[in-house]
Amino acid sequence: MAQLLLSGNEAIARGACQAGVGFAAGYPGTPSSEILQTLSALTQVPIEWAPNEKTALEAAVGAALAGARALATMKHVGLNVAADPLFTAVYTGVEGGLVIVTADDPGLHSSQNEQDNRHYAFAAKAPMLEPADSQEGLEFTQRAFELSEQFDIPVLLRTTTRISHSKALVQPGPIAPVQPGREPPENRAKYVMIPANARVRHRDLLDRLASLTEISDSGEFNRIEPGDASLGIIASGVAYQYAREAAPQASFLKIGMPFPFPAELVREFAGSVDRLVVFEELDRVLEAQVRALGLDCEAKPDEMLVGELSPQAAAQVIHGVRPPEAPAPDVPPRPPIMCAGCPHRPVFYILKKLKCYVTGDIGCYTLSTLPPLETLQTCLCMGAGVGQAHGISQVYDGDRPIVAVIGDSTFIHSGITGLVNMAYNQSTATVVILDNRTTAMTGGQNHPATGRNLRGEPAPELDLAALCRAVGVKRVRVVDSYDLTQLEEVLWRNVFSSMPKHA
Amino acid sequence: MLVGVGGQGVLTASEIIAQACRHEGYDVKKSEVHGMAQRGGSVISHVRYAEAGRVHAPVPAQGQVDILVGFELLETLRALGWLKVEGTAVVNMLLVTPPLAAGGAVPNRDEAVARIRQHVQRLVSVKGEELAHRVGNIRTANTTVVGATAALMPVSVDSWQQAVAEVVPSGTGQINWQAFELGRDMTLNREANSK
Repeated sequence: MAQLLLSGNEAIARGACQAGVGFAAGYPGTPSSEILQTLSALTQVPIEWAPNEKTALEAAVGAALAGARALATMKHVGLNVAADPLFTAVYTGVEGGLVIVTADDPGLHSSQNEQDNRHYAFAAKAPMLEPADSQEGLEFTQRAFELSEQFDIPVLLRTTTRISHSKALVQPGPIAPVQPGREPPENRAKYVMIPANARVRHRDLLDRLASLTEISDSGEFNRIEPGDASLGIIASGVAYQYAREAAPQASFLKIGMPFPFPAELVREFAGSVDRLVVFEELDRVLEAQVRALGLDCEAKPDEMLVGELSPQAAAQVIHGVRPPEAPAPDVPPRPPIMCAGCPHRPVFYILKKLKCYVTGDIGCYTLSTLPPLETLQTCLCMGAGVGQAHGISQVYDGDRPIVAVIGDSTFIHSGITGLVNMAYNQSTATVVILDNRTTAMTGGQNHPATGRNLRGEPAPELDLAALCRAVGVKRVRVVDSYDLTQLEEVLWRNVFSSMPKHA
Repeated sequence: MLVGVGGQGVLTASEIIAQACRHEGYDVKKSEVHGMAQRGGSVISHVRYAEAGRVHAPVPAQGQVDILVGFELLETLRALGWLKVEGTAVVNMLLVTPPLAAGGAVPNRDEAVARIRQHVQRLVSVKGEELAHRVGNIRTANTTVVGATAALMPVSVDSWQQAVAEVVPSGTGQINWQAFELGRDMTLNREANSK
């Protein structure tokens, strides 16, 4: 079979097919979105956009319970949303293999933080594989399904933007037949996590991890690459590639499975080299583990806790060469802006005119915080603007109307419960759903209110206005944002009217 | 290294170059950053190629880029620090004013070109939009720039032809190949004349 030039995300999709994946679900999020889109072109099994990462993972857990190999994909912050099922799914284990892709975004190319999701593996006690290029993306995905079944546990596959969105040559293998679903087992001791059962499963989990530690120490994913014994480098992911270029002669311990941590292998490697350097992106996860073994090592300076690493950062840490300070080019910046004709623009124009205090969250509309609109005052996480607007309005009784803006996809993701809260606790704030009928920021994916599924086929269409009424919102208005006069009239009439002073 | 503005086809261009390197038998890695690029922001893509086993990192070190391909003048200026002292810049002579920039802060075309010349030992200028207009489709401007870049790379015509055909939208293969040849021949002629 000829080699293909695949991105990390495309390779992961290919690996899932080579493992006979029977179900996949996720929520779009840079840099993870292309995995499901690629997968949908490779296989006819159900591939779904879920309302959010939690529902995606729960559906994948269900498919795995029914014996299928199941995949859930999300960006790093998506795993925060899906953390609840994750932390207990490691107790119950699986029937079919379950693989969860978490795509981190060091450097915040398109994210609100740069959390290091390797911590989730340690915190949730979930084994994690970490590919360093597209070929490993394919192979590790395929192996992750096998490990998941062999050790009866969900497996995390962690990428970063540079792995997900870099293309490299990949040797594909044959697509495996899909492992069909079957009747789920009646095994309540294993799948009903009441305290009496969960206590037993927690102990069992530790046993499973002990067996997985043997895999971690075996050299399959964590590999010693002997070189010059005067310098030994421990590195993972794209940081490994940078270090390889900076020190081609060095000995390497390449980490592809950070959890369970390969303590024996690390001890062996440390004992075989004169100088030990840990080179890793974001937090000091590997370094902390190495030091916990009582081993001394060198590592990056604190300034490299922020942002992406690079080949020159590798040279700095390994050889002590500081790159020359390049003067910042005197060129006007070119930040992204809302598209010409974007339906969000008129809304912010009016909200600004009405001197509203506008809370918001994640989507194209976050760009309204930049000049010239400079309207959005908060962006915390998906759905947060709705909760924040309610909280503000409960304690603030000044003259400015409190308005939360939220996109249609984000509203379905995590705005609905916030709105339920507002209705229930009689909020005086206003929510504006900016309905552009797509998940725009991540490239225009379908969602439950677009009337189309992931494959673009017709699907039942969520009625946003009816939903708002159903949760108890008294005044629901639908307005065309391109009709500026009507829009101003509706906003002006409504953003003030719930406020105590205007009631 | 390829730089430009969202919508110019920078990622399509880097895909053509990476695929051509693959067809030529090189090991190749390509880096790109999605996300905000669609909304008129800066776009950067790297392509690294060499004999098998020599390409590790998908991005180069700053100051180590052999060929900087600028689809737009301000983005080229912004990226000059990546270029090797003895490197080559292939630059499309187009300036796209950033929508939010204050008038005085934006250099005009001549100023921008002068600043690029100051920094770059070897400059290949391309009038991509003009060449694209000549083949009859303005949307092939990025392909003319790829053609100009191809003249500087050890990659055969066959590999380029395969790469263009598989990357550009179906039905536009022929016109894109014309655009490619126009950009390439223009560079080759100029190189020949300057020798």
